[in-house]
Amino acid sequence: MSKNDEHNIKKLIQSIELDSPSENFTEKVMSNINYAPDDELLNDPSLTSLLKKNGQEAPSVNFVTAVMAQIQREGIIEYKPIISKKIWSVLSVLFVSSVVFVLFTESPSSSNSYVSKYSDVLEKIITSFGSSIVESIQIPSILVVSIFCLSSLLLLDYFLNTREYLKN
Amino acid sequence: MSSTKDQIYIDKVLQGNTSSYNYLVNNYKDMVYTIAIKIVRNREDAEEVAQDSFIKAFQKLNSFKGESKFSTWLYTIVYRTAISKIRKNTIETTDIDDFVMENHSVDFSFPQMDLLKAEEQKKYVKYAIDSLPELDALLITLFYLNENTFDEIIEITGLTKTNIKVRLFRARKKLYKELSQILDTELKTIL
Repeated sequence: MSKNDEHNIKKLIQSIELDSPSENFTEKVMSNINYAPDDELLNDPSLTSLLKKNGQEAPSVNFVTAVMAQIQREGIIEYKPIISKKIWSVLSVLFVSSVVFVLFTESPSSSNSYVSKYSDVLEKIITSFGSSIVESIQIPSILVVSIFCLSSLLLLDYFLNTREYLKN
Repeated sequence: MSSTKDQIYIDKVLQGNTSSYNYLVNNYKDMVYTIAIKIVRNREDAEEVAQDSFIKAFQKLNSFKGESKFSTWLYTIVYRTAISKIRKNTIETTDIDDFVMENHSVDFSFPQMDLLKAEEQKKYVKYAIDSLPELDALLITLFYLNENTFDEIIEITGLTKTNIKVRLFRARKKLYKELSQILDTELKTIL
């Protein structure tokens, strides 16, 4: 088939008019999109009464026995946190006591910067635990600040979750 | 049943009195089964979904905060369990004519019903509901049979209020049409 023939067929097909739906097709679609029936219109006591009389289904006779037998085996799932309450308490006490210890033994800092002042305090907290590994490592102050911020957020999250739990 | 009474039994179960759950199963088993069968359309599967839902609810009872009614929370579990049972890839299509919103009301108090036996009445109503798409059948059941509020249905199904209203309106119309046809045919054979 030549290129010209192909072009002619294409033109012929394009000349055919598209099929069209019913006259009020757009209205039908748009009325569905824009229209939500009133609550009043949906109230139907006759349907409620018909369904109440005839629409309820019932499971097999031994349904309750089967469910209860399975429940005796399964038990309620207890969701336990990865870090228990006890460990969180110990960590909190350690953290608070080390902060207090460092603040009371803090030497006057020559630097005026808040970040370096607090990072010094935190470095002191870490070294105060007496680990030789920690002492031998030169910890960059930005890392110390990050660890502090992360710990604070974790603690805050824990206390907020505990509050939410107690409320419920 | 009152939410307070439910909560008493829930507390008992949480305190370790597992047999108290029997009360909750007994009270909600029919509605749970009805919801399940509206979606899965098969007695065996509905029974399985209903059982699974009660067991899931029992296992997660700790997470029930009492912010909504226990029944609403339970029906949400039933709905999700049933949906995952039938999960399929078919797209639900609807005849464009079903979309037309006509502001006329339909009357479901069919006088022909009185000529039928109770068993037959149930059979035809069930047949008419089963002719609806699964979700529409569920909405009709929740809204008209169980008289759940829109907020409760929104919580159970995750649909928007407008969507629920449009579907209910359409489903009610279709149910009426279906039931009229069944009853007319049935009465012609009787007479």
